Amino acid sequence: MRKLKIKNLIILFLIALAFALIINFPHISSIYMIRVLNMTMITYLAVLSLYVVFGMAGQSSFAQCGLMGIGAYITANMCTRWGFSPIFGMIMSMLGTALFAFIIGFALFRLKRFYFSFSTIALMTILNGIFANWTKGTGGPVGMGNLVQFSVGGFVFDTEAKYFYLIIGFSIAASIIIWKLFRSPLGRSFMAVRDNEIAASCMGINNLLTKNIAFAISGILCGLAGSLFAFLSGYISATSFALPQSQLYLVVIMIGGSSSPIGALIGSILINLLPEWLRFLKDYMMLIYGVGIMGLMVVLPEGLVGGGKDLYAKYIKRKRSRVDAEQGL
Amino acid sequence: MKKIIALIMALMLVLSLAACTPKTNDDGNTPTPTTKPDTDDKTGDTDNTDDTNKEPIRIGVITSITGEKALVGEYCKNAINMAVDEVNEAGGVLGRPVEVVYEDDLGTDVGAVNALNKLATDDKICAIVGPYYGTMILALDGEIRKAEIPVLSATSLTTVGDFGNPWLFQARTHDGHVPKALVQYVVENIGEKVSIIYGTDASGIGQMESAVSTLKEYGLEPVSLDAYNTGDKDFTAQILHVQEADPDVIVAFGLQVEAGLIMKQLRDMGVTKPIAGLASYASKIAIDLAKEASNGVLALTDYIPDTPREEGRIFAEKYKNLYNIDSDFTAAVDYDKFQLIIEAIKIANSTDRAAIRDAMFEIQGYKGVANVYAFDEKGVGGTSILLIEIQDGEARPKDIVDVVEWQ
Amino acid sequence: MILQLIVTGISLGVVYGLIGMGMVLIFRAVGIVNFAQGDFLMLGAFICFAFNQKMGMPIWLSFAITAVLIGLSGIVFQFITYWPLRDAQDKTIIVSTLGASIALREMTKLIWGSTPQTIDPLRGGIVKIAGALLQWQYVIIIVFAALLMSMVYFLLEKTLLGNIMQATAQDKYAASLMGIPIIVAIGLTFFISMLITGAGGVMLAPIFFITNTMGVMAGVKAFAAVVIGGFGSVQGAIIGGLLIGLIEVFAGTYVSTTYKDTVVFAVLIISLLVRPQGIFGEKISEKA
Repeated sequence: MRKLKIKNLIILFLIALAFALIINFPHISSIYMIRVLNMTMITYLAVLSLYVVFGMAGQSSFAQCGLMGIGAYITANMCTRWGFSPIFGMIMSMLGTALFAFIIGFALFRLKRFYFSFSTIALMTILNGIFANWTKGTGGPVGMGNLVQFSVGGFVFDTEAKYFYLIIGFSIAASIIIWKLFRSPLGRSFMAVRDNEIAASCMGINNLLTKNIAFAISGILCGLAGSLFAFLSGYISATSFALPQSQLYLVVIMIGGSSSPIGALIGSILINLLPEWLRFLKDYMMLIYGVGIMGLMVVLPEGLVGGGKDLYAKYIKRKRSRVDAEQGL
Repeated sequence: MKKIIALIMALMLVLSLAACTPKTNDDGNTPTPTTKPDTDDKTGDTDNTDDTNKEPIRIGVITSITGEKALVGEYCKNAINMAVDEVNEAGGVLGRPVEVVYEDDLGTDVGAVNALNKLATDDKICAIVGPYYGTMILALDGEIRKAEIPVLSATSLTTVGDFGNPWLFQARTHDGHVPKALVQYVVENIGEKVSIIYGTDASGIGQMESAVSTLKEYGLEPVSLDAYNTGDKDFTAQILHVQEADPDVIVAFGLQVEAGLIMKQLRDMGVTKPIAGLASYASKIAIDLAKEASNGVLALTDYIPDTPREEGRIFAEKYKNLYNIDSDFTAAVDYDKFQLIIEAIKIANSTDRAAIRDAMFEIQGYKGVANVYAFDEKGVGGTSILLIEIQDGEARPKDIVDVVEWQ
Repeated sequence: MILQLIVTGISLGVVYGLIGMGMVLIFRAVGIVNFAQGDFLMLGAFICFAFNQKMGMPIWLSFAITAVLIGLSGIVFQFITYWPLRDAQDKTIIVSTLGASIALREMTKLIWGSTPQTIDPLRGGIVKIAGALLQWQYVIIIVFAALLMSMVYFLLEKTLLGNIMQATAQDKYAASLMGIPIIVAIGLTFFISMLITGAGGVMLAPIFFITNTMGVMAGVKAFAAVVIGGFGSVQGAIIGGLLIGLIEVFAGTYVSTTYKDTVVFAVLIISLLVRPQGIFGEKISEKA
């Protein structure tokens, strides 16, 4: 009983500390670093979406960046061109992207594993082509600029620091929701589909619908990420929503560990902060990055989270066997 | 439970590490308290043994060191390193040596924004040579205003002056003038039936629109109008349209690799009509790729190694001697951007960011390597352009065209 | 004019087919999808550039040397990327090949710089066929690619070596029980796969120039080709490639020059919906 209470206290303390750190962060850091973290969290939302559709439902999708783009352009059009309120724009982004994902999912999910992946590559390229050339809707290659800032009521988010609080709020909320999803029957049905589709359908799961729902949920997250990106940057163009970024997200979640949302977090953090920490490598940075990915897949196929779990499991095992030995078993 | 602890610890670790990244110097030196450089009461003192005077002046440069556009970055670094050495050998500026901090924009708009923020956060950096690409400048507009640091750009986009950003300067003769001059030249000297091929990047579209509206002034329309995506390799479709339209001249807008491809493929498919383009068509890269296909091509550009401008010839020779390859217009323009900042610092007699910005507007008639610069009230500074013709794999000058009145 | 389009389309198409064939060979042998395949196109072009332009060797000789070298690089690639991960899950290998793709591009950039390059064509000049002016290089590409494809086909179906490769592809364990050295068979597969891909790069280079991103779009389109043709089928890769090449050129001329890639991928999606197993729909057993 006492042990439990101490544990609770420790957790409360940590939460308070983290809270204090978050509140004060913008004051002790440079605009540059705040911006990097803001982008990290937006990346995290996109990678989290990949976690839902890939880590939980087992479908590798290369279209996440395209979905993000849809979210961004919906927000840009709604708020800057048509003057709707930012909150409305954001909600429309999330719903619109989710709807798009859901509808297209019906077509794409009829395909088996890697055929589905190819179709997402095709989808991504098509979306990018539309973003880059449909001048009426997306500004074409020039993109859309002077975007309206996010605001609630009369409160306008016009500094990097304010966006920091906003985005971290959304990230935490999204994480909690996905965590709940992970533990919910719906989440388990995703994982059932991922592990063995035939068995899943024997248990009464409608595979197609389930995969579609996963994709739609990832659409909500991507739509949110895209919308936040539009508000934050003030300028969006097709070059930000292309196949390389989508590939990057897949790499990110594999590095972090596809079996848990924490992997999404760790991966996003690494991928945004490492280039900053490794700037001294300059010309060689990308080469080391590529080689690093290859190496990491060999050494830690389950990503850092997976590797961490392995280490922890080994530690527990050793501890337990030591206890057993001491007790003369 | 354990997972939550792990999560929170990871989060805090990240935040602390991020927060503790030194705000100023890249090299990890703890920032030393500096005496304000512009309240220097030794104004006439060129004695380099004085310690507070030797504090180097830092200028930031955003360019593509990695990423798809790394070629521009190579030229940029070469040119600016050359300029830094020249300035320092001549005794520096305000008696102080000059130092450059390069930041990689990774070839993306997001990367450019990060690079800008990183440089602007360093209080010792007084001005920035901005990236070359139009979409990056578009993305940077808001950030530059927030950061309040003078940035020189060399994109050819027409709209930069209209941003109303007092800190952003355009050191280039932009696409409001140049395609117009090109079309005027071809219509008056070659023929009225003009085909246009253009790349759908930010500048290509602007150039095409400028060209089309110039044709309208003559009461003309292009006999064929074809677009392509940057990165496309095969232009058969566009060229077939051109052949059908049977023009007097083909005007083409786009980047260097596509320029080389288009020149080559036009000739290979048997189109013998004259071709006219902008800076990319005069660049060594395009000429080397197209080889014989580039003969006789006309172009309006800022700079070629064989430029008639005296300053340009000196630059071209030095660059070739130093790096063993020919310079290109992006190198020349970046060199000028840097020198313009130096000039502004001299005029302002200070390294305060606002002072440099104000001093930039006072630059009227500065003779650079690639242009004569005179900044108007919108911060736009290019005044003339060079007409060249390619002969035997070399770009040869024909004329200097003054397009902007500044005197 | 139509002839022009057809020839260009077929020319592009056979190169996509070569890349696709390379992909299919690897897939059949070890069950992985190689996302770095397109970049071997680029590597082949650069290696040939090194011999032809930098060292001044004649193009056919450079081509031959390049072919051997790039085949060897395929074997190296196998050991670095595939072999350590041979028992791992699909997604792990996919990501590893993504990393390899990045590494390859950066490596060539560091070695040869970012300036676009070109090499001598295998045969320069223009030929006039039925009123259309065509570059000899396009004709050579078609002929040569057809030759390579038939050679590979012959090798696989008619020779002992080819049968060994196919046996290993079908069932590694059974093959090893029969005394087949599977590592040799797999190595050979990678060798041939990269060789034909690299050869495609050498043939395209004089027309489209060499940049370190030249393989990216080609690789993605080769995917499309392989899927349309039927993933797992060598003939499918070829036919699919031809289709993609033709669609690209015709869409560019008659639909829109800027949306032509969009059209190609829309066709891919339609093809996946209508006939997901592709034209030749060979069902090779996948890795479980």
